[in-house]
Amino acid sequence: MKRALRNGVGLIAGFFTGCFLPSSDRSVQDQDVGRAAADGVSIRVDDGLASVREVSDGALRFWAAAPILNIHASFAAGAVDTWTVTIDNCLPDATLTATAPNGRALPVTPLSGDFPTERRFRIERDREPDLDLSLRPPDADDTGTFRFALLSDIQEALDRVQDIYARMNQDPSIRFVLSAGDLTERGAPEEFERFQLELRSLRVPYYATLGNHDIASGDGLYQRYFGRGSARFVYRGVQFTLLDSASASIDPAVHDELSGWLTQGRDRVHVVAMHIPPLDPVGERNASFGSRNEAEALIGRFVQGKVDLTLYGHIHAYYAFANGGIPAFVSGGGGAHPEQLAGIGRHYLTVDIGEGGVGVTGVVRVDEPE
Amino acid sequence: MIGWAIPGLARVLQRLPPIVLVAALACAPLARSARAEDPPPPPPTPSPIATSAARRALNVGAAIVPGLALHGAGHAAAGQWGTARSLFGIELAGLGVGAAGALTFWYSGASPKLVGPATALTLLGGSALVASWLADLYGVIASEGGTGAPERDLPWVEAGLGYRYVYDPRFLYRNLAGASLDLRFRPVHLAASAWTALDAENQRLRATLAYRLAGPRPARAGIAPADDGSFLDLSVGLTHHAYHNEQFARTLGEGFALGRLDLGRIGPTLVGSFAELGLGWALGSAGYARGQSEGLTLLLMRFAFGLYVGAPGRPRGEIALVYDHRHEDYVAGLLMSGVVSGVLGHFGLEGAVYFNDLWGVAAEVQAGSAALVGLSLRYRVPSGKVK
Repeated sequence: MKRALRNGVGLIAGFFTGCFLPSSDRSVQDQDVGRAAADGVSIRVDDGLASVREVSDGALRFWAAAPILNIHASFAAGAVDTWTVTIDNCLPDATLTATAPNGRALPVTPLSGDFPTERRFRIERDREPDLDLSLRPPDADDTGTFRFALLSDIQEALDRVQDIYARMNQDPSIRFVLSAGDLTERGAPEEFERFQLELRSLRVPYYATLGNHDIASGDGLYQRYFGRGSARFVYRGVQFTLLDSASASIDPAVHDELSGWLTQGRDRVHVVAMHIPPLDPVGERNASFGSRNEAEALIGRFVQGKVDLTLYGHIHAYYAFANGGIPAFVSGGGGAHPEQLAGIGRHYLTVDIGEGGVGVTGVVRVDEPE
Repeated sequence: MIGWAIPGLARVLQRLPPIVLVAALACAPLARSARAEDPPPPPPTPSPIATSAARRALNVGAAIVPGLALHGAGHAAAGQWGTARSLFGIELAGLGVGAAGALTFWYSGASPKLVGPATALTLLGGSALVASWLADLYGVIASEGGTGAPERDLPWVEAGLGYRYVYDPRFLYRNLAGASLDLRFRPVHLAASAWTALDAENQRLRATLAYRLAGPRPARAGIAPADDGSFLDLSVGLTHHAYHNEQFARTLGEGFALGRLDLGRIGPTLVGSFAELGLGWALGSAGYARGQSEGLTLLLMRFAFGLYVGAPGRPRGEIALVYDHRHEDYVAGLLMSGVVSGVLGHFGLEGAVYFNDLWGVAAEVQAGSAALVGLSLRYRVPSGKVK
């Protein structure tokens, strides 16, 4: 009888969680991103800003989800001294330093990578049991204006994305690409592998959150490949906050994290990006949060937190509007089935930004002949 | 707020998709009001379906298999071919209309130029599909004469005091208290409601003014009551919802057309059941404590399949399964992973029963991105009591 009651309560709790907290599993999985242990090595990436792809004897591999990474490694007695650290999705000019807890710098030798955003380094840890690794580009503390691109909703156009990457490569001022999600159509492993393969021709990294299509094959797969669905990083004085809204809502645990991120971003230029927008500029369509109440509460928090720019995907067109007075853009031009009669096809956005604020935004159309 | 509302209401009427008005007005001939010279309505034809338990079980089984795919199969098994054909026809119409809407939605890439009518058609088609299957099931389950009869004379006044428990993990409120008042005079119906949270700072105020083109109204001397519970209403409304804890508030004006069809008009076995369909549009704004207001629009749609319970002289009322496309009331819209994330509204079960001429209770359960259960005490002043 007690067991039946326990099972019944568990079933009801599970039903409520699934219906009203559809992204709760993903927010829990986010906490595991950047942590791994194997072969006597324990790895932790600060703020989960990289996915740990490989931990094996003498080799570490990461997928970077931000320009700056701080990685802590602990080695058991008997672990090898020479380590090859590979960081994928990296700024091409980023450098890696290794420091022992007592502050001693250890030798790091850059090795050649196979493509622009793959950086490889050899580290001699000299029997130090703990190492702090720091990946930083040379302009990390530069407060001047820089440019990033926004490209979302590639989905079924994975095999046609090279022309977009080629156009981006023609603009040397683009430092990285930000994505508001839907990298793939079904979120299947072979699609994530294909996405990575196609990305090798892009000369800058691609920092993303996930979309509703990326979780179609189940939760957890995206995080294993590309990192957290909700994360925050700072680059050149600008804070970028990426939020997992792939289930047309934000998990309460992420709302709690967001409180801290909004506080940290209050005195900075702050960009927030997510896949499904809180409010669809076309209200009748409601390609947005399932709850207008949650949507407007979230926008109210952005207003109070002095967010400077909000960026969204999900809608396969381009819209420029405002959320509570905050400039907002929807750009879903990566190639997924487009919104008809919108007057725009495949495209990406460029944003010039710096400590002084958000500058010019531009739309680069790839669907027109040059 | 009022100054904004008047031009806003004009825009609401301009933006109602033409198909909505056509569909709504097409229902009008189905819900013709009785006139003084009309003869009293005939008594409902008793259901000729055999009532042996085994036979009923067979009919119910047929309504499920193959009835889930072929709506009306239950009635066909019962030998009610006329009603079976009607229900199957409604299913086919629903499939056609729904497919037209869904395909328009898909191929247009949810273009804003087409998304309103496309969504409305999809929901319309889906409603027809659900109604035809539930009607088939009802007809083979219900006893002879149906589950109940509708009120054909409406009260002048209805008032309610209620409580709601809302579980929304994103907000502080859980317990709400509310009051409602409905005033009817001939075809005009003024309704107002107010809900306030008991454990947070949150209030929702709503008022609607409806004109009944056809259907039950308060009793009038010399005027026969309506034939049944079918009706067609056109209404305008205003909703203000203040989220003080979250420091924002929303005000919406709306236009809405709502029709109900007593399904006994389709077949005698369906007496006691009804289907409702409503379409409309809302326009308004959300204001933030420290930010600029922004304009909002919503497509409104409501579908219900229900039963009348009870009969004159006994406790009577109605219960209905409801789909509501609103995304801004307490339960908002469903949260689903996948392609339809955020698009759907919420579902609910609602009912009201009056124990005598004056007192009754209403109950509701709703599920969207939040869950709600509610109970209200209701009081009415019957129109038949006023000379």
